[in-house]
Amino acid sequence: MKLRNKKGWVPAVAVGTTLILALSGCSAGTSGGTSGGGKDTIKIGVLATSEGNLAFGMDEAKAAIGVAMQAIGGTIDGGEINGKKIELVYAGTDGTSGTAQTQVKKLVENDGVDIVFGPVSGDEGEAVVQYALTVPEVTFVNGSASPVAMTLQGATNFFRFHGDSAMWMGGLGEYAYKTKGYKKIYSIAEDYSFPYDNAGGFFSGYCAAGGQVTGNSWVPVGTTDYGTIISQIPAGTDAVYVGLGGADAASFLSQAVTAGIKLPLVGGSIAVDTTALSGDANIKAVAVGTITGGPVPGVGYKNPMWQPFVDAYVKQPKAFPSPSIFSILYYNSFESLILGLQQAKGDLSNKQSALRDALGGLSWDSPTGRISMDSNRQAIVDNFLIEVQAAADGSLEQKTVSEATAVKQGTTVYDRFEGCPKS
Amino acid sequence: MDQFLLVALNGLTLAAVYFLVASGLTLIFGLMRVITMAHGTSYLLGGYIGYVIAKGTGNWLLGALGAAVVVGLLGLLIHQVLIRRFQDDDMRVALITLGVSLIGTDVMLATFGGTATQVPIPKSVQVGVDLPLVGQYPLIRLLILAVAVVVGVALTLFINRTRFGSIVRAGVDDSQMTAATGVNVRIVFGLIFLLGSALAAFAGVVGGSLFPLLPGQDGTFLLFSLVVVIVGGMGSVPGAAMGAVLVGLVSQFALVLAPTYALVLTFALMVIVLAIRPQGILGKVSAL
Amino acid sequence: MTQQVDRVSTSKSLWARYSWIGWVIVVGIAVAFPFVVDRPRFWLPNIGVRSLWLGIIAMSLVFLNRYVGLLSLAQATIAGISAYGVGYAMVTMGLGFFVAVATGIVAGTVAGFLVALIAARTKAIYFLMITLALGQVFYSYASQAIEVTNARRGLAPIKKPDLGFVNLNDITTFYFFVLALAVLCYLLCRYVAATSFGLALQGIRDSPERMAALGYRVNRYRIGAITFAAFIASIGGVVLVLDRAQVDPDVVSLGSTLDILVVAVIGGIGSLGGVFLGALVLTFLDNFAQDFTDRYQSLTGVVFIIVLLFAPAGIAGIGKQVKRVIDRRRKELSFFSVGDPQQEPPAAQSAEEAITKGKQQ
Repeated sequence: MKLRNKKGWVPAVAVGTTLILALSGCSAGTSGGTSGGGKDTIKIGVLATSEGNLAFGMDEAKAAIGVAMQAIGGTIDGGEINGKKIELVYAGTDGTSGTAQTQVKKLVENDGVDIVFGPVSGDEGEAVVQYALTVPEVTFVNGSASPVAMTLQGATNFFRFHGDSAMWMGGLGEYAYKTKGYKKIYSIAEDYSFPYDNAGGFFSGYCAAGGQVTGNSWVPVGTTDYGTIISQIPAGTDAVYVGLGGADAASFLSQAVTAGIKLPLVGGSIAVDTTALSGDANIKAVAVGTITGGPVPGVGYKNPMWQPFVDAYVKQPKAFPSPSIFSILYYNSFESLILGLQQAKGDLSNKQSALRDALGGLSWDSPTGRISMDSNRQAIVDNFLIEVQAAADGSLEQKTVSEATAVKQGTTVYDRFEGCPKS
Repeated sequence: MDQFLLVALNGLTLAAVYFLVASGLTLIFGLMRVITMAHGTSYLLGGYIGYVIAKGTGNWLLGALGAAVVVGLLGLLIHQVLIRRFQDDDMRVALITLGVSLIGTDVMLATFGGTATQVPIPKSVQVGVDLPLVGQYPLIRLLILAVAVVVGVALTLFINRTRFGSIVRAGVDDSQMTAATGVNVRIVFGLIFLLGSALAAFAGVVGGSLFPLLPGQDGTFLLFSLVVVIVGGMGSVPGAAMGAVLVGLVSQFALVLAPTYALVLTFALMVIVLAIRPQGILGKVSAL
Repeated sequence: MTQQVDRVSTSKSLWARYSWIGWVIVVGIAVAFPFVVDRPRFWLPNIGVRSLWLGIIAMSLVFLNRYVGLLSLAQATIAGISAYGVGYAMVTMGLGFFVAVATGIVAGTVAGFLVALIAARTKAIYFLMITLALGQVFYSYASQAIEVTNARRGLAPIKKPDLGFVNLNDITTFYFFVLALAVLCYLLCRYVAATSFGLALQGIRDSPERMAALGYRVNRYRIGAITFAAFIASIGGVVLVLDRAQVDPDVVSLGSTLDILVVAVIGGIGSLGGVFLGALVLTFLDNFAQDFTDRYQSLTGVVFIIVLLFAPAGIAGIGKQVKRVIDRRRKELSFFSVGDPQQEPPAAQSAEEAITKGKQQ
């Protein structure tokens, strides 16, 4: 008699939905293998951003994994290595540490993955490393998260196969001061950990070479109106450091054009990458001549591994016209994982020691140069100093002006700074 | 001094975009006493549709008008199907429109992706003009200011000089009495919702020419519309203009004086206004 | 007359008996939960504990809505402030567990008090907007105040203590600890609602003018209620930060605010206990909906709207009309004490009547 009334309706629906999802959750959980090796399936959980301002992260991750897996005869869902079956499970996040925590826990504790691969953003990366410290039996391979501190936490199960954001600017500071002649620079950067490290890497070299900082604007992520900030740039500044990414960078560039900025720019590693340059806004006047540093090589890069990678990348679904920083890092990291698995012959027994030894001692020629590992399981990589120029057809392209080989990680973890950092 | 003028001008041009978005919300809020939390979604959707049309046809104006029409009709549909039944229950409408915005955000993410786009504007507009005292200033910002002024004047005339406008004003003051005089309030409500959504969409195309369009902008512009409407007083178009100017100026000057906390100060403005004069600057006490 | 009373009294006692058993069953399931699931390591913290703290925070929202008539979107923020209090005390100042927890709860409650001072005078829809905006103010502040909140990096790690007699690091122990806390908070809310303070609140909800005429300081009661709700939310915040082991601005983001609202609405916004079911649904969606469809946010939105459209009972804001109908009924059946929290059956019936009698257009 009482179940008819509508008050009973709502909890009934809620309980019903819960039961349905519970049944599916249980079945999803039991279908996965337990972590710890010995079985014939190796389960890899992939973390990537599928929402928020890095929503293209999942597509880029799948493109990168697709290239790597297809080369060994597999697909983005799985394949085979040394007779062992590989199964890939994908978990989307929105770039915040909260969802990263939820999803990495689900991957490890419910889906029972043996290896976690990812994540994309710095905030997520720091949360994942904290979690990795609590589950030593699972191996974690980084995707593209680049805060300096991640590999300095002592997590022996965490491996990063690319440089951190400070390493990406290695050599650029000196280049800006000596070769380009920028004596005074004004800095505009987003207020979170990635730009702290990225700018820190640039300015430590720049200040050491003798440069001066005329001011700092640390803006919240998602700032779209740079008019007033642009007007704050003091006279006598030679160049502007733009530590912005994604939509913020695109806004800044287009507003710089209409505000008539004549100053050359120094970009952070994601300020002038393919996602910013391939937009519709008219930014040519300002973007040409911008220098930046990062793991992405410019045109005319003479590495025989590079072009085959690019060709395979553009064939993937939802790929950009050229690989972004995310797909490059994800590819290098995932291919490193595959090579490690091959070297360990797919053996995950004994707390995955064979795999971890292989990963820790890995050394191979990637599409962006040689990757080898240091004692913190942090990669030693090549770095590229880039200048943006106009291509023959009028579009913008990146030209490599200098390459640095075998760049090692420094030990300074940067914070928000006002003026030259003391390093 | 010219620094001051430059910042003030930045504030005014930013206020122009805020005014365009908030004007629709203040009409809906003022007349129907309901808050639509999907207003930001209308902004973003309008921007995206304008982008698609303008990119396809090469005509900005067509994009703006097309976006306004499509989103206006969509708003009318949502009003008829979901909101009309619960007209009296402003809480429920707020929550329902919140649900609509959740769905809308996700669908737009799926359709348009996560990277930023901007509504294409003719190259001739993407220049700076020389203003006295200030120096070079982006032309597009001045154009947007002009558009907002034109729209504001047109809306005010519409509300103050036309018969339909007088019904709206009567409804803002006392909707039950208006219904008692024989006006078909239902149709009026629907049309107002259509107009409000269309204004938001138009604002989306205008704003989307200056700022990027991407997921998250809907939440940002909803929040700013709420702040402007609260500060300016609901139901009042001049109030929305005043509120927008205040918000724009505060946000820009805060950037100069206390850059790290500029956003905090902008919202603090709303808190202060609500504490001192809860009905907003030009709001009527009866509207509370 | 006597027949009516008898019939009604029978239905009341049947319903009262029924719902009491219902909640005992729910608590029983919750207690048996760790022993029933096949992967307690995943289910206890990720589903169990998470649903519990979401529920505690949402319960504070429902308390305010149901007994005061104010829909507050600041509860997630207050829980976050409490979490930051714990984090700051533990990580930045290195204080012990109990001091840190006390700091958090005090911080959250004081924050709620300040919110109340600013907003208690405003009416329902304005209250909603101002609490939403206040939440955003704090989010902006937290994202950039590097000295206090460590900006976007947040404060970590926040470890659960081993107190000797009870080791909160053991997932089962922690789960039962949180479960006990949730039940206590629920009982506390019910208790407060039944005191004269709670009754006065309900009177204020229904007719502030009348209560003011009777000599009640309406604003003070509202401030008191909001502060109490902040206290409950702060407890939720402490559990949150222990569960997540860190605190960062995303704990107080717009997304978190909306999560709490979704939990409250789906669980039945008039039901103090229903929030936990709502929290369970949301936790499931967050964890598993991705396995079904990429568009799980849309799914959440659709479920949200369906509940709002078809579950009129229990939503306190359905309008003064329904409340008046309830009041009339209450007066007729003076057999019941005024302000009995077990409102479910009369409210449901009145809502049905309200709809069939064409209260909507």
